[in-house]
Parts: sequence; C-alpha cells; structure tokens
Amino acid sequence: MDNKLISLAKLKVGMSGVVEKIDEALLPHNVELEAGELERRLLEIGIIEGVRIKVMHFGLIKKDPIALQLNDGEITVAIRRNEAEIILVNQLETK
Amino acid sequence: MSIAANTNGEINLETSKHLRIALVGKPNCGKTALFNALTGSRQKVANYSGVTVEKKHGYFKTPNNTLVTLVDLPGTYSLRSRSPDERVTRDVVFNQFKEENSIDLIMAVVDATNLSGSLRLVLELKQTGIPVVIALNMIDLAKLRGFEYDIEKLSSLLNCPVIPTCAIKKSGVTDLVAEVDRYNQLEVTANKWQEPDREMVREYHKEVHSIIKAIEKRKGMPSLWSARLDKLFLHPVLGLFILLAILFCMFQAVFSWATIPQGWLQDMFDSLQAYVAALNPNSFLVSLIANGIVAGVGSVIVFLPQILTISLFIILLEDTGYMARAAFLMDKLMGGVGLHGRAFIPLLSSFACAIPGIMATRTIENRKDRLVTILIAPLMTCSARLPVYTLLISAFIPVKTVWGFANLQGLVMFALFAAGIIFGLIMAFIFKTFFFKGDRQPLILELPSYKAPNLYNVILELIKPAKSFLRRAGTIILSVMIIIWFLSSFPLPPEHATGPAIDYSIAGIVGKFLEPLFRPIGFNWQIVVALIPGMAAREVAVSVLATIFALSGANDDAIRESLTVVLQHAWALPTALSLITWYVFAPQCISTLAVAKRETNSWQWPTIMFIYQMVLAYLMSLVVFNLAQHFIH
Repeated sequence: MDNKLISLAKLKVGMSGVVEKIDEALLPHNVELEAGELERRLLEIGIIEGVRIKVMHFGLIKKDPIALQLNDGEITVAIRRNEAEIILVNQLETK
Repeated sequence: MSIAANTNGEINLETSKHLRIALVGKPNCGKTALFNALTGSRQKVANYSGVTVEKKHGYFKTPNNTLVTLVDLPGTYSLRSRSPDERVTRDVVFNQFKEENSIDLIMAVVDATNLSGSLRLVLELKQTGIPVVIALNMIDLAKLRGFEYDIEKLSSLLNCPVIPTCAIKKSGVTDLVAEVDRYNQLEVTANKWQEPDREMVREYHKEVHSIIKAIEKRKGMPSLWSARLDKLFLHPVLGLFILLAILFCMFQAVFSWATIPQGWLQDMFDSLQAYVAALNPNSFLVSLIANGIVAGVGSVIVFLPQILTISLFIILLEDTGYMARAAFLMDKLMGGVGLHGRAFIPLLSSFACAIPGIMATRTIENRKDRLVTILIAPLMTCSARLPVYTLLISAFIPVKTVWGFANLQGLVMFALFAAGIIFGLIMAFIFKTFFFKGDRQPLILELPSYKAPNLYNVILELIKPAKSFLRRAGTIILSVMIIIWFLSSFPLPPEHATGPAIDYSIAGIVGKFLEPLFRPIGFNWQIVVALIPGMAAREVAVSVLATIFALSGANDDAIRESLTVVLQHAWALPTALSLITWYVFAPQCISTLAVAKRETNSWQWPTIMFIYQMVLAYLMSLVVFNLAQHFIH
C-alpha cells in the first residue's frame, strides 16, 4: 500500500482511497462559506477520516461533478472537483 | 395552494388534550412514506407565521384514543440550521413558534439500510432532552440486503424505544402507534444541545461507529442495483440522453395520453353548457351559469389530466431517487450560469407550478443562489400555461408526424418548454454576473439508493396538486369568471346594435382602450381583455376567451363551435405566435409574485421579477410577431 497522501480529485473512476485529512487551505477556488464550514458539511454527510471512498462516476464536462461511494456503498455522494481537492486520501491499490 | 392556513379545525384540536409529535429524519430516509402511512389522508398543509416554510401536519389516533398531531419536518442532516428548511426543524424542536404548542415527543426516522447516516442526527436529538422514539425504517429492505441488528441493544444504548418499521408495507406502523401510548414512561430532561462544531461532528461519528459495531450482527450488502443503474443513468453521455428522453416522454405524454380523458371532460362540459343554456334562452341567470360559470370553469377543469400527468412524472422521479441523479447530470450546466445543481429540483417542480418550485428553493442554502433560482422559476413552463399553449397549438399548428415518430404539436410544445429553460438560464447568467457577484457554493449531494415507487404514496402525493388545482378552479377562477361575465355583458348593447354585444360592454371598452399599447406585438382587444383576468391565474385567459367568443358569436352556431375553430378564423398566425411567446415570458400570475414576496420577505424581488419578465415578454413577442409577419407575407 502506498502511503503518500493525494487529493481525492486526482483519483480516476474505479480508484479508491481512505480519507486521511480534510484541509480547506487546499481549496482551488473559494466557496462562499465561512472558514471550517465546508469541512463541517463534508463531515456531516459522512466524508470523515477513516472512511473508504471509491470514485464511481464523473460528469461529462471537465469530469465534474464526481460521484463517490463511501464504505462500499453505505451511501453515494456527489461533490464537485473543486471541493474534492481538499480531501486527502491514502490511495488503495485497485484490485 | 398553501398560502392561507385553515385554522378552524386546528384550533379545536389544539385546545383538546392531545400529543404533538415531530417527525424528524435525514433526507431520503423514507420519512414522507412513514408520514403518509401514519396519517393517511388526514393531512393539512399550512405555513409557519413569519417564515415561509410549509408546515405539514397529519393526525392519527392511538389505541388509547390519544389524538396525535404529527408534524412532518423537512429532512435534515443536523439540528443546526444552514438553510431555511433546516431552521424550521430546529425551531419546531425547540418550540420557537409562539402559535404552536411544544413538542411532546420526537419520532426519529432512521434508515435501516444506512445507520451511520441517520444515527448522528439521533444523537443530536437526544441532546434536546425531549423524549425520542426511533422508527427503524425500511427494515425490510435492510433485511433483504442481509443486515441484521440487535434492536434491543440499540434501544438500550440509545436509551429510547426502537421500533422496526416498513412504511411502504405499513408493517411496524401499528407498533409505532402503540409505542406512542407509552410515551409517559419516557423521561424529559434538560436541553443540552449546542451547535456541533467540526470536532463535535467527529465525536458524534465516533460514537455512531461504536454503536453500530455493538449492534450490527451482520453487515449487509449495499444496493447492487443502485450501482448498476448508476452506471447507466450517471454515464456522462448516455445519462444525459436518458435525461433528455425522460423529459421528452414527459411532454409527449402530456400531449397524447392526457388528451384522451381531456376530450371526455370537454364533451361533458359542452353538453352541460348546452343543456343549461337551453333551459331558458332569455334569462340572464341562465346565461351567467351557462356561458360564464359552466363554460369558464369547465374550460379550465379539462386541463386536470395534463396537470396530473406532469405531477405524476415529477413524483415518480422524486420517489425513485432519480431526481438527485438529474441534479448531478445538470450541475455543470447549471453551474455554468452560476446556479447550484440543487436548483434543478426547484426548477423542475416549477414545471408543475412556480409556487411549489419557489418554495422548493429553500433547500438551497445560499441566499444569492436561492434568489436567482426564485427569479427564473416563473420562466419554467408551469402547468397553468398548458391550457393556453394547448388551445393555441391545436388551433394553429397542424397535426403532422415529423421525423417518422414525433407529433408536430408535441414538438412545438417541447420547443416552448425549451425556450423557457434556455431563457431562464440566460437570465440566471445575467443576474449572477451583474447583480449577485461572489464565490460559488459547494455541491454536496447525496445520491439515494433507487427505490420502486409505492402506489399508495404516489396516489397521496398526486391528490395534493389535483386538490389545489380544483380548489383554484372553484374559488379564484370561478369568481373571476363571474366578474368577467358581468364585465362583458354590461352595459347592454343598444336596441339596434350591429356588432356583437361584448363590443358595448365594459370589457370591450377597457380592451379597446389598452389595445394600442399591445398593437405592436399583434394583440387585438380580445386578447388584451383576456390578459387582465389572466393575471389571477394564467389558465383563466382561456376561459375568458371562451366567454368573449361565446358571447360575441353572431349566432347560436358560433357559440356551439369550439373555441379552437373560432380562433382559427379570428386570428392570424403571427398574432397567435406572439401570444404564445408572451405566455412563455410574461409575469401572468399574481400568486407567483405573492409567493416570491413571501419567500424573499421583501417587495424588491417580486418587483424585479415582474419588470424583467414584462420587458422580456414584450420584446420577445415584438420580435416573434414581426418575424412571423415578414415570413408569412
């Protein structure tokens, strides 16, 4: 297993990773929320440290948004590429 | 429509001794199905004073004869409020509404197929000190997927009763109702809730995780079907085609299936009108009933099948879980003009009616995004425009099959819908660029598992738009019809009048007075007369035209002729096209403006809405009318 942290936005369809850290400082384009709020919303929907995320689908234009499966399908969530940048994962080897 | 609360029944209920229970749960946990299963048709929709969120109340009786008011609260992930919807949930739970009694019991709906998503909210609810009963919902589905829980342990860990339920099969619902009778044994404690910050959310998650570890006897499989279907529906290219195909089917259905029962209704009202009119041809009262009420209200009620068809599509898309996929597919397109992917749902609802559409914008957390969505919602073709479109299309567009499969009339209808959408997006872009600058909102959207819709639920949800449409037909439209009949019948024409009677009436005078203003866009005075009461409800314009032409018919044959045929002779094609165009854009609905006022809590936004729509409608009609004249001559 590779231990280098990469951003979730770097993963291709079919790849998975375990969430290690959420870092709002990495946000490429600001969103209109107060500091910490984006992180809190991601946490609330279940994107939290230790959760396995599998990239399922990309949108047509610029591969945006991204559909993610959490913990083998406990829940499926869509987020934008911009927000995916702040989620750092440990990439898991694809079987 | 839900503007006015019918409080009479409610006040009686409030004063008699009974329980108030709040139904709380995260989105997509089957909460609405459970609400329907518990209360059936004993439901009431009203509004909280001061705020604009719909309050859904239902009633049921327990075996011990306790009367229960069940308050259905909007789906939320947390008690903290980030959108108006979520604020209502918090305010009801903490009893912030003065006219309401406090909540005696919280019924927390937990999705048994995804405990981790629901239990965090339950932990928050426990903090409020209000007794909580848990409905472990969709238990059948969870069993089917192989989940097995130690329910007693869950109950003891959370220190509250846990009842497994399956709302769509009504199993467990009786147990849930019986549990309500034991609510006295539940303890009320002090409120310890505070808004969870990031670290608290993490703590809650840890607690949820350890609870699940303790009670999960067997872990089930996720919905394989959902993953498979997503491969198709979320496919970047195929998915978009499927979405377009679904929308296309929706409009073809409105124009082919719905026209059959529409024909029956039309025949019924025609014979009723003829029958009443024949009773006493010289009486004014008979004329009012036959030509004013029966013809007017009838010509609106015939559109019920179309409204039901379009509502059915929206309910099915919502219930199956497809709507969130549509938001996913549309996000980039919507984002391109600065809208939120979530705006897709309110905008799609606006195809049924802009009023529920505007109210559905509450799920958009950001004020600017929400305002832009509200402003463009009326450009989406609502079902009330259908009568006008239908009438004009069937009168002026030939029945023809094009490209081997599509009905030309259906195609024109599709084009009108498309025009509304395209200009909606253009206006959104303009608003976003010039009036609401700023960063974008993030998209964080749950894609729920696909579910087969439940017939009972679909019927209950379908009755709501039908009821409100008929109520409108029975109130606003009926009164407008009577006024219009009066205005177009009086004063009476002089003894030896040459023109039809309406020429001499108040309506004729007003119409002719305003006509010069509308002449550049090809409107004649009959149209201008119809537009004024059409402000009360768009579909009224059709009945007004029916009234005008029925009354202005030179002989009895003209009255019996259908409006379609009458219009073909009365108007040129450019005028008809101009009127259709007007209806795509014009602010022809006072209720929409009223709701926009209520939702934005200011007159500023409805005023802007009215002005931009008026300008847009006039300009577009001007262009269409002149182009049509140019090409036709």
